[in-house]
Order: sequence, then structure tokens, then C-alpha cells
Amino acid sequence: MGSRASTLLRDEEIEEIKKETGFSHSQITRLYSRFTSLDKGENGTLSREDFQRIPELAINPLGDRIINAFFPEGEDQVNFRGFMRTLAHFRPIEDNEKSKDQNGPEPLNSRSNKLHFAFRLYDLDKDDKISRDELLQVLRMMVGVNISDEQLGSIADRTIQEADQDGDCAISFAEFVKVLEKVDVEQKMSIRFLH
Amino acid sequence: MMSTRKRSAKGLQYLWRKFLRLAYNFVVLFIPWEMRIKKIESHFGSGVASYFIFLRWLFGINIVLTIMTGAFVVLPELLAGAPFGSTVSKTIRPEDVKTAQDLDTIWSLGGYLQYSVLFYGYYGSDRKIGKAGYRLPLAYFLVGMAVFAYSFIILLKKMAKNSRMSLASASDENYTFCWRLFCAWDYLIGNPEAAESKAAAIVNSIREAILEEQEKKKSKNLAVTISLRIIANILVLLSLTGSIYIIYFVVDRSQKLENKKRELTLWEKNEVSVVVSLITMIAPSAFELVAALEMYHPRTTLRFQLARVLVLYLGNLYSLIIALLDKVNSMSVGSFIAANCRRHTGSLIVLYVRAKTSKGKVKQEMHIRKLHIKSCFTGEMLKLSIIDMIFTVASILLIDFFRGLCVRYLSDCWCWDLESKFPEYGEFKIAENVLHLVYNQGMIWMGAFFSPCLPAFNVLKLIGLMYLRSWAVLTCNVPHQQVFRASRSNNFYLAMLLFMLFLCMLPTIFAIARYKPSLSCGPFSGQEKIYDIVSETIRNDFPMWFSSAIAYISSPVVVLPALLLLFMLIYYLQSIARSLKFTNNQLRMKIQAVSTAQSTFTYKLVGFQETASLIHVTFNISQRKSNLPLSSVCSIGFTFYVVHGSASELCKTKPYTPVTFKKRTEDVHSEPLFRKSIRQVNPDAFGAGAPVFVGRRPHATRYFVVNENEPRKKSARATSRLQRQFRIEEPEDIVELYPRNVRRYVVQTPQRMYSPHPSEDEEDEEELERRYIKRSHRPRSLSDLRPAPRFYIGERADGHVLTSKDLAKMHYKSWDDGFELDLDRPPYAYKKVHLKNVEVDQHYLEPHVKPKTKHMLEQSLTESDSVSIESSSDPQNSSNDQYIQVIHSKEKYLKPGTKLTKKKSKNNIELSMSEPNELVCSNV
Repeated sequence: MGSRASTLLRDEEIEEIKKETGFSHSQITRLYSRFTSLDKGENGTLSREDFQRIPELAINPLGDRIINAFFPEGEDQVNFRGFMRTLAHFRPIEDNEKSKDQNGPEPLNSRSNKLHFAFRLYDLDKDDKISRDELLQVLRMMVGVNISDEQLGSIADRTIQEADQDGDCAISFAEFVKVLEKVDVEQKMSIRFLH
Repeated sequence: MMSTRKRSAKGLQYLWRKFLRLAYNFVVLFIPWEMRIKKIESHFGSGVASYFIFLRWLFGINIVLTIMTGAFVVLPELLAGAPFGSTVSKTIRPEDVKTAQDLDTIWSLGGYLQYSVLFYGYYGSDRKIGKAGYRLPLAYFLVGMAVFAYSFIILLKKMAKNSRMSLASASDENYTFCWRLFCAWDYLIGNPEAAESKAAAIVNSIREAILEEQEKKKSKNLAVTISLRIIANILVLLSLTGSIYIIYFVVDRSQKLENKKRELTLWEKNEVSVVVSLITMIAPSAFELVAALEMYHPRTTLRFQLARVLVLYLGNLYSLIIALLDKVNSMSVGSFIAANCRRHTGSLIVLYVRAKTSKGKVKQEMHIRKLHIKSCFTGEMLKLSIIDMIFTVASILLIDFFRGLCVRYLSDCWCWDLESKFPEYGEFKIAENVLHLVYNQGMIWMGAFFSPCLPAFNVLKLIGLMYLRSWAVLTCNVPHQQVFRASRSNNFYLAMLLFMLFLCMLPTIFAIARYKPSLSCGPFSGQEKIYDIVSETIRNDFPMWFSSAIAYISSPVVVLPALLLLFMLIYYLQSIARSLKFTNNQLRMKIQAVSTAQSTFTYKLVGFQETASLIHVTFNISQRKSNLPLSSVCSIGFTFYVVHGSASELCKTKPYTPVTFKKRTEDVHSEPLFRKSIRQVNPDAFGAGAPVFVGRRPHATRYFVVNENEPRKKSARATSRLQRQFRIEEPEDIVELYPRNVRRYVVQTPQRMYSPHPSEDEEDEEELERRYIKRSHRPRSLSDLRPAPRFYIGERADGHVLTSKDLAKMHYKSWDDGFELDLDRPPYAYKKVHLKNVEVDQHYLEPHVKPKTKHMLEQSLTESDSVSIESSSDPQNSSNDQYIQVIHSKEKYLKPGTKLTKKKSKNNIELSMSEPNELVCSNV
């Protein structure tokens, strides 16, 4: 499997992906084999259905949002490059990376990028604000029909009230960051990819 | 080569982690019922789960008790004691042999069961048994005592641990809702069942949050609530006295009836038990109705309910006992036996009480009736336990299961909706079930001395109960309408258990101390008192000096002072605990104040930074009196020190009592220059919230909150929490907190690893810390304190050193006028001053670089200690307890913040000490 995957993947592609995402060569080939095994249509791209077959995503109330995060705006397919770009958000921050100079573009797995990824899960209309309605939708997804709209509304209100600093009744990215500043996002939003 | 080694090391690390996780999962498998409880918790909330956790804990205790009695009493007797049938006390009487195998006999624990290790009477009274000479009677006595001792110790230990935990986990998070929302889901869940549980848990936690909110929002019409509560309590009291009176009356009546008539009707025979069980059935529901009047938080309601039901039970029990004792006293031996025959018919309570009274009574007549009366007594206990078990099973089946079945399947063909109207599905009644457990355990404790197998039986019973209850809960019950969060560290159940233990110990101890053991049977037969076994052993089997030593120790000369000492110790520890609690509150309050101050402050600064990114601000915090210009430089980045003192100090400068506060500031000004200890100045600095000292630092905004003189462990804990609270990590801002005591941990905090610019800054900090450490422990003379401003600010990466003392001094000096003056200056002034200042500073300060700040640490430690105790006894300070709550309640919390913001927009830095506190106070 692995050998097949690597044969399909050209070296220069791997190099590019490596540069862009920071994954190692072996990680890329391994993820490529995973990619191909998910790709039931065998056309080199993944569709939403392909993702929905992953049990962790299927049962996740926010699974659809996560799947959406893989797809660029307005597209229904994601190729391996896009796949890797999204996954790169979850690469753990390694020790030697932190000491690197800050001149280059920020790596995809930096704290702010991780947070931004999470933020986009909630920000449906991409206006860089989580509005009350968007919060309500998320809440509804998480709790099902067990709790009345009114109560959920009050929860959403409280959430916004807590996080809102500038009084626009929505949570901006800066506020989101502030809320989660004590959460160890670097740790929590990392997947231990095999080396 | 390198890379492969590195890789293999990484692989190993990975494997190790995986192994750890596996091991952890493996260990969880061995925690009994962990998965079951988790499942229940996720579906029914932590309130219901707390019952099961309590049950599991009791199970653990009973296992230990079983091992104790089993290993030291039952097994030796079985192995080495005289075999069955060898002595009179171990043989069934010939006239009983015929009926020994009847179900009726076995049911009443007669026949063979009566002559078994189950009961006290079976144990031989030989001082030593077996070849090894095992002292069974002594072991019996000691184990009996050890059971109580162990129970006490384990209960108290658990309670202490709980209260510690509740201190540690009293959360004062700001973003509960946000976290609940954004961090709820566990993205690694891949198993549908786990996902379902998790979803249920999220729903529950959100419900809990809603409930808490509603509780907070409840309109507080004080007059109405208070009057309602008074009425409710009166009602409860009335029903309690009523029930007690009724029981007494009924017992009295039955006694008279017995005296008058030979033949009693069925009703007359069972009157007492029926009445008692009716009362125990009806009263709790009545209490529940009454509790609805009171409008407490559900958690409080539960506690009241529990306490009331417990009082009811105990009241009933004791009234029964007293009434029956009266009855017993007026009865002849013959009628006593007759009364005894009736025992089986009564309700649980009656049985229970009869058992108790019969014991007292029976022992008086022990010498007359050479029967296994004590066996009878413990037989009652065991029987009671069995009957209780049966009742539990029956009630679960009837009340929960069949009701559930009916509601489920009959509702289709019924005229109203069974599921939502009348019978509904049962809810899990936490209060009653917990009480049942407590009660059950009480019976075990009461009977354990006279029936060593009781704990073993209880273990089985608890296992059964666990499975039965958890099954019933998951299949037949619906979650409560109102889920509330029960904290794990809830001491209330335990307090009830402790109470029960005490009450149950009394009769046993009474029996041991008061009555002569039966002559014919039991390990203590032939002795004057049960506890004589100990003194006898000491006399006979220990050397002379030992027994004389014991005699000496037990003499009043030693005992009385020891008692006194104990009392004093208790008093001392209690006062210490009080002061610690107080300090804790103070610290928490401080954190809260600082965090509000900081958050708004940071935002201002950040905004400021964005708009005027190249303006350098210098705060020249000189003071006229001293003419000592201490300055700091602000560039694009900020460094921000908050030095604050001990809680005790804060109390001294109570912000909400203006008088003291003024005095305090006067103090600061009137004193020529230097105070003995930094501590005294600190609170001002702290209160100033955020005097800003700014170093030349490219990107980072740094906050050091140096907790200067909170000594010792407690503060270490508090401050380490503080640290967590404050550790804000953003790409640009790092807020760190350096309590002195935990500094080392801070250095090693992994989060530092993620600092975006670690190289330079870390060096910096380490340097800083090194110096801190170096200095703080060196003793310094007071006179030397004077000109010791040690404060470099410059372009050098590592030239940035600030001792807290200097800071404090600066704050102190700048307290009133320093900041404001500076801030009133037009910005260009700052610009100008900036570069010069660096030089001036260094120039000025260099002569003083010699280590001169001394002494203060030790001094402050001792002082703060005394002050803290002093302050804790100050009644005024008790109002501080409210702080946390006040700060927490939403609107109140927000207000100070907004006000602060306003103020700050006027004047960036001015944040006088009194501000946050006063604002909070005004809301109280």
C-alpha cells in the first residue's frame, strides 16, 4: 500500500507539500495512503461522502463543519494538497520549530492558525464574527432536541456576554482567542501523526 | 545517524505514551463500576452519580471491615475454635433439633444458624485457642473496637480530603459558558456509544448551567421568601413533633391494651409498626412539598430534605425506644417473651428498635435466662438487613419497574397520557436513597460487634444494590427535570454518615461498658465487664513495668492534662484553619480584581499600541520628596509588573473602610522614605492595579505578578492557581506570574515552550529570576535599604533587572501623584525623555548596584503571619467572603469592568487601589 502510494506521488509534489505543511516525507506518504483508502471514487479527490464514512466524523455533532473545513469555498472535491493543508493545522508544534525565526510566513500549525481553524468551524457566514444565530446552531447540533429554544438562546446570550469585549453582540476572532487563551490549544488541537 | 537516533527516541517516547494510556485504561477497568457510574452520570447528571459513588465508597469500607472481622475473628474461630457440638453453647438444644431445618426457623435465623459464627454466642470463651495460642476473646474485643475506629478515621479522612478539594476546585473561571460551548466535544470519540454518552453529558452540563443561571436570576423578594421559609420550617417542626407524639401515643396505647386484654385483634397487634411505617412513608413527601415553598437552590433543597428525613427517622427511633423502654420496665419476664415473639411481625423500624431494646433488657436478665440473647439481638440486625434488602428489591420492582412497564405499554390504551400526566416514569430519588444507604450502614455498625459476619453480608448486599439500582436507573427512571451539579467534594452525605456512626456506636459502647456479659456463651462469658479482657491481658501477659505504665497513663493526672491539651490543639488548629480560609478568600479576590483590571487594561494598551505604535511613553515616577527619579521606558512592547503583598496586608488597608484606607495612604506619605518591609507597600502597588514599567522589548507584553510575601505552602497553592489563572498566552502577549514560592515551577512550565520568542526573552527572565533568588534570601539590614534602587532599563537584552523591592518602592512613591502627573504630560514629553532616561537611569543607579536590599523577606514573613491571624479574627473582614460570589454574578462582575474601562480611557494607567474593590463593594 505504502509503496503504491509513494509511486503515485511525485517527489516534487512531496517536496512542495513538505514545504507548505511541514510534514515529513514518510508522514506524507502515509497520509497519502490513507487518502487513497478514503477515496472510494478513486479519482484522486475526496468528496463529502468519503469523509462521512469516517466514524469519528460521522458521530461528531460538528462533523459536518469539520468536513466543510476541508473544502475550499464552493467546491465539492478536495485533492491531496488541500487535504494536507487542512491536516497541517493539527500537526503538533515541535520543539525545534518554536525557536525558528519569525520572518517566514506563519506555519499552518501555529497557535493562531489552529485557533482560526476552530473559529471557522463556528463562523458559518465567514464574516469573522460568531453571531448569536451561529452559536445557536452549534448548540442545537450538540444537544439535539432536549432543550428548548429559549433556554439555548439564553445560553448563547450568556456566552456572547462573557466573551464580548467590544459590545457588538458577536464574538470576533480576537475575543475568541481571548476566551481560549487559557486552553492549551497547542496540545488539544494536535494529532500525533506517525513519523 | 543523528536523525535516526532522534527518530527512534521519538518512537520510544510515543510508545511510552501509548503504553501509559493503555495502562491507565487498564487501571480504570479495575475501578469497580467506573464505567457504569460514568454512564449513569452522563445520562442523569452528577447528582444521581453521587449516590452511586457514595455507594461504591461504602462498599470499599465494608470490604475492609469484612477483612478485619473475617481474618481476625471468624477464621480463627472456624479453624482453631472448639468444633460445633463440642460445648453447650455450640449445640442445638435437643428440643429444637426437630424444627431446626424448617423454613420458619431459618427465616427467623434460629436452628443451625443460631449456633454459627454469625453470632456472638458461638465464640468460645477460652482465653487462648489453637496450638499457637490465639487470644480469640482479646482479638474479638479489639477488632470490634477497630471497626469503629477505622470507620471514624476513614470518614474523617475522606471529609478532610473533600474539603481540601472543594477549596482547590472552587472555580472562579470567567468563561464558563464559552468553554462549555467551544470545548465541549471530545473530537477523539469514535465509538457511537461513547458519542451518545458524551452528547448526553453535554446536554446535562448545559442544563446545569441553565439551572444555575435561573437560580441566580430568581427575583429576590426577601420578605416573601423569608416568611415562606419560616412557615415551611414551622410546618416541618410541627410534623416532626406530631410524628414523635403519635408514635409515643401508639406505643403507650398498645401497652395499655396488652395489660387489659388477653386476646388482641390483628390491628391492635400491628398498630405500632403500621403507624411507624406510615409516618416514614408519608412524611418525606410532605417535606418535599414544604421544600417547594422555600425556593432554595435544588442542591440546598436536597440537603434540607435529607436532614429533615434523617431527623424524622431518628426522632421516630428514639421516641420508639423511649416508649418501649417504659413498656419494658413495666413488663414481667413472661410478657417480655410474649412481646419478643411478636417481633417478626413489625415493620423494619419496629424490628430495629425492638432489637435494640431487647438487647438492653435482655442483658439485665441474662443470668436468669441462659439463652443466646445477644444472638437474638444480632439476629434481629441481620434479619433486619435481609428484610430491608427484600423491601428494597420489592420497591424497586414495584415502584420503578412495573410502573415503568405500565406507563410504557398501557399508555396507548389509556384514557390519558400516562407518560406525561399522572404516574409518569419514576425519578431517581437521591435523598431517600442516600438516606437508605446511611441507615443501612448504621445497622451494620450497630450489629457488627455482636455479629462479626454482618459486614460480609453487607458487602454482598451492597453489590446487589449497586447492580439493581444502576439497572433500575437506566431502564426505568427518567432524568430529573432539573439537573443540578452535585460537587464530588460534597461532605453532606458523609456528615450524615458520621452522625449515624456516632449514634450507632453509642448503644454498643453502652452495652460494653454497662452490662455484664452473659455467663454461658460468648467470648467474654465469666467476666465482670467486656472490656476487662484488656486489663486482664495487660495484667497477666505483659511485664510489670508495662502494666504500671498503663496504670499511670490512665490516671487522671495524665488524662486530664492530655484532654486539656487536646482541646487547646483543636482550638489552635481551628483558628489557623480559619485564618487560612480567610487568606484564601483574599487571594482569590485579589486575583479576580487583578484579572479584571488587567484584561481591560491590556485591551487598552493593545489598542493604544496599534494606533500609536511608535510613541514612546515614559512614566517618570519620581517623587518630590525623595527626588529620586525612577523611570521606566515604554516602547512598542510593554512590560508590566504588578507587585502585590500578602492578603493580610490587604486587610490592613481595607479599601471599603475609608478611614483605614486614608490612614494607610497617609502612612505611605508621611514616612520619610523607606519602609521596613516591602510588604507594606505592596498592596498599594497591587491596588494601583497596574503601575506600568516598561522595558525595551520588541514584541512581548509581559506581566509579572510577583507575589512577594505570601509565605509557605498554602500560598504556594493559592498562587499557583493564581498563576494558572493569569497565564495568558497570545502571540504577542505573555502574562506570567511569579509567585516567589513557586518560581521554580514557573520556569519549567511547558507553556513557556510555546512562547513565540523564547530565545531572547527566556534568557532575560532567567536572569531576572536568578537575581530574584539571589537577593531575596540574603538578609539585609534596614538602614541599608535606603538608596537601593536597582532598576536598569536599557537596550541591552539582559540588562533589564528589577527587584520587586524596588518596584514596590516605586509604587509606593508614585502612589498618589507620580502616575497622574506623568500622564498629564503631553505625549511628546515622553518621546523626548525616553532615550535620555535610559542613560540617566543607568548613570544614576549604578552607584547603588551593590546588594543592599536585605532582611525584608524574613521580616515580612513573620509579620504577615501574625497579621494574617490577627486579621482573620477581625469580624469586619468576614464580609470578604462575599467577594467571590459578588464578582461572579454576572452583571455585578461586568460593571466594574466597564467602569474601569471608562476610567482608563480618561487616563491610561490610573487604576487606584481602591477602585476595583470599591466598585465591587458598591454592588454588594
